[in-house]
Amino acid sequence: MDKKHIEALLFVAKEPLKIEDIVKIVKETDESMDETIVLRWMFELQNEYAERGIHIRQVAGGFEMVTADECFDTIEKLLPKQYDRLSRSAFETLAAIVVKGPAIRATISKFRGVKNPDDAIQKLLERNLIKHTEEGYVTTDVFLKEFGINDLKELKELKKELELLDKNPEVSEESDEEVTEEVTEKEETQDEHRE
Amino acid sequence: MDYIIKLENFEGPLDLLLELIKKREMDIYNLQISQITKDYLTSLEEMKTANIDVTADFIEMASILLEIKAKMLIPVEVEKDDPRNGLVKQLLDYQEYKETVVQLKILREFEQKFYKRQKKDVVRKEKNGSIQDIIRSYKDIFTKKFKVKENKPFDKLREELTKFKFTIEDRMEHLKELLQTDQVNVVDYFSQVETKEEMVVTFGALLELVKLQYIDILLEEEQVFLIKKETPPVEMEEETNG
Repeated sequence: MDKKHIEALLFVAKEPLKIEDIVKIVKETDESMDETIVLRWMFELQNEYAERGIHIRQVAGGFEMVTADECFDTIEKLLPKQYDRLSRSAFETLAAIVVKGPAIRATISKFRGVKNPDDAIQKLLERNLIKHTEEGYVTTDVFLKEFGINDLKELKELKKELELLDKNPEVSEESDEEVTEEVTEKEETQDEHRE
Repeated sequence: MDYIIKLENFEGPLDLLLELIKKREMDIYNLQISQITKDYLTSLEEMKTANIDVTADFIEMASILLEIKAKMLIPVEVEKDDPRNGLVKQLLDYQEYKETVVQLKILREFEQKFYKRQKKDVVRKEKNGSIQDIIRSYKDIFTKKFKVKENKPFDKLREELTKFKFTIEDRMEHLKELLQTDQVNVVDYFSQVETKEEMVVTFGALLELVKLQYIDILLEEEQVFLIKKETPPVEMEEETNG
């Protein structure tokens, strides 16, 4: 066995593959495989792909192939993005849960400054971005995948990088507006009593 | 100098307070309570003049500020019991929350620049169903299946119920078992059910599993499927041909 098997797995997988899952698979054909080998191959592949149109990256604790971000403009011509947009209330609810997770309803309500946070919570539950636990709501792996986060702890480190971005008004302000604008209106008016 | 800021758009007292602190270029860890209380109260007055609804939350914060201010006037011997601590903690949390909102928006915007296998199709073809979709399937099959026997006298039904062998727990276990290996088509599953009572119990079990967040409801071309939450990542048979 060699690393092209790993490469092939990454190519066909729909979800990020965790190292332990890959090890389990390759062990079925080759008993001598172990985590060290798989991990080494993975990093080698990652390096080999670094300059290509497809990258290997780590998200939600697994590895996956994605197109290089600098190719976005080109790909978009062929496959226009049809991603669901998230409303402002959704972002706020997620943020409250990220900061205070597990977060109970009252916490979310307080951070968002609304009396009734349930609709936004319900929508996030339906989209599997959060789930309910005994201690409160927490974010899920789906959330990590949709936001390209490998680990929640990573967010704190990302913050420093984003603060730099933040100082560049072009990037932060613009994207900010764009996301909220069209989505919020409909939702906000019907279900939120912003205080 | 005018420290009153644009008044709308405040999501709550902490939001307003944080903005006032920023305007004063004050250090959150070292709040000048009397100054900030003054600013805060002036802002509330301004809000009232501008006909903005000053809610109980805002008033509560005002009283917290005044309380802290009063406590600050009393000389305290034990240093570490700073009356501001609670508020500072709240402000820091709130500040982190505000930053996280922005952060998440940027991350998501950025994430959309990545294309991956199947992502697009999955988003378009399947959508998350709700309990309503299950109820609809349930009703359809229920009427179809049991229309004929509708006239069954109640006594007989009760008799059957008492010797009834299915429990919701059993049914839940059964469903869980099925879900281990594959997704379950709701219509198919209900169709195998033989009696009205079993149907009711099955439905109850389904609701219970939804409530426990054990399953996801998935709509695929008008068919309702149940899948186990957090499908294990290794599952590739269908996806190999793109």
